[in-house]
Amino acid sequence: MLTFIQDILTYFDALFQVIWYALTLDPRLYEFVATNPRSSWLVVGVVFLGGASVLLGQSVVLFVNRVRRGRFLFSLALNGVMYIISYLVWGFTISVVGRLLFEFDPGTGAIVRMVGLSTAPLIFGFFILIPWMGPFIGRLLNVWGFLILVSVVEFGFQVGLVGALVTVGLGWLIMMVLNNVVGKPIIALRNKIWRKVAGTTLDASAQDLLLQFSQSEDAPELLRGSRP
Amino acid sequence: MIIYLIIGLFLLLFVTAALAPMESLGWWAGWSREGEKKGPAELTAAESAASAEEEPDFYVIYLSGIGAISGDSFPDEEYPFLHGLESRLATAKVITDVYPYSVTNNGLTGQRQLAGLWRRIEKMRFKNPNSVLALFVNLRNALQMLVSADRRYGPIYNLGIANEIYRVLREKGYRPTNKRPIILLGWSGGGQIAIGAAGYLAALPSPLYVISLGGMLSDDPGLLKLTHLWHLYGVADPLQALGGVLYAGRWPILPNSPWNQAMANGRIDIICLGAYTHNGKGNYFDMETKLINDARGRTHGEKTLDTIEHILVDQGLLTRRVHPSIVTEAATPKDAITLEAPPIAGDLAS
Repeated sequence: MLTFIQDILTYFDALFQVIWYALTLDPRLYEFVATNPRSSWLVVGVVFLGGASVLLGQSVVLFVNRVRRGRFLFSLALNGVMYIISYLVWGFTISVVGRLLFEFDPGTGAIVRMVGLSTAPLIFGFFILIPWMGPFIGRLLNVWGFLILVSVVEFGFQVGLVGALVTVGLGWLIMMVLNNVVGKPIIALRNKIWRKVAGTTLDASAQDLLLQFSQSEDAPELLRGSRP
Repeated sequence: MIIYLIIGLFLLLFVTAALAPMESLGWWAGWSREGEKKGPAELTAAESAASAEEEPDFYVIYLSGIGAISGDSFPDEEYPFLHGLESRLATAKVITDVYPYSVTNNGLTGQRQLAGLWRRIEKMRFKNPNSVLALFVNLRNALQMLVSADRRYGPIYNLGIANEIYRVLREKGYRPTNKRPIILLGWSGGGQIAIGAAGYLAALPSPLYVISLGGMLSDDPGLLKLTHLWHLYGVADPLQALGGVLYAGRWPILPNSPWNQAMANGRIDIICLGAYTHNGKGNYFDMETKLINDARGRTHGEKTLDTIEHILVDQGLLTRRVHPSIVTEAATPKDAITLEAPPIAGDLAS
């Protein structure tokens, strides 16, 4: 039992170190992640935390849809898992594009792991909640992640900035095509899981919900007076 | 060491800011019923007692600035102003017990987990109004003001506030069928919350006016629903001017924003009061500092009251009264008649 707790603490210690090195774009980390397959669990931890934190930052949609506490926490965890899956696909795409364009091949696993590191800034995703400046922080985190991704690709395929930008750009285009061609049934499945977990479709905006609410018997008299 | 301390402080500030919308979101999601007010039965009893009285000509709901601790605890400087307002608006009902920084009208010293801490800060502020700890009240309430102005949270936050305003109005005898005008008088952060709540209160059959006193206003969609907004400001007040900088919808390059549309439709009047500051000497409520070059030797606070009175007279809500100081100074009856309309119109134009 004690060893298990010690292992968990060691894992989190290593996880936060990995996050710190990723945030500072440290090439030593890329080398460690590229050459050490055991680092996979650390990368999975980074992506999971990033996904959960971003959903927390964007959780207004859960509140607006009146999701209950238990389901709320479950939704955060589910989003973390979904992020892991989408970054696996994203990493695989980058790896395929890089292999086609460049001679140096660090291996699919290494690239997928390194691409996962680019989600490190998203652990600050819950700051998106901050009123007024939250959406700006969200964009800043995306730019930060993009910079890590570019430097990871530069390191992974031993190419220059232009080569890395082309790889990321082509990878993004392929992801867009995949989303629109084979992505629809996957998105439908994702939405089905969301409905099960969150108990709602989560696609209603605050205004939609308020309109719906105004027509219910629970609505304050003021709102009922404004029924269409 | 100092760097870690600064990083830690920033992180604490960011986490506090990130948690700011939680009160209203939790209320909406049904997670928290902290400090929620009377149920329908109690309200009905209060309403029936109030409805036996004759209804006033109009209602003024005062929404205080970010220094307010609850619906009955404002910074000291606001009390003489509120007394002045009540005595001048004898035919109106002036309501001051709506706390605009809580969706459930629950003051900081009400039913809250941190109520004890806020009570201590309130006591300290009584002793020393410039206490540094009082800044925590300002910070907390400023974040709530930003929640009101944020398009993600505003629809929920402003609904809660509008609902509380409506509840208090009903308690004070408001009857929608009589269509008595409603005026939201918002000071500083209360100005933003007033235009936010106006988006819902406009559904009532009454005309809905907003008077902003140095309000930090955003481009809230509520602007397109209210009857009219008067924004009173001072040239030495940089905080009210921040609204025009922080909210892109107030920039002239976005002509379709609610603010610019309301300006184009003539729903907004912007009135300069002079060299007013936001806080400290020479603020909107200052009843001691005399205005420079004022023909009647008024204080800052008196001119603020005069201007509000003038607006209401102009709207036909009040009858014009002879200013006591002018009558006393008038040398002959002829002079008194000439001065029946006090020279506020001229002040407004300047």
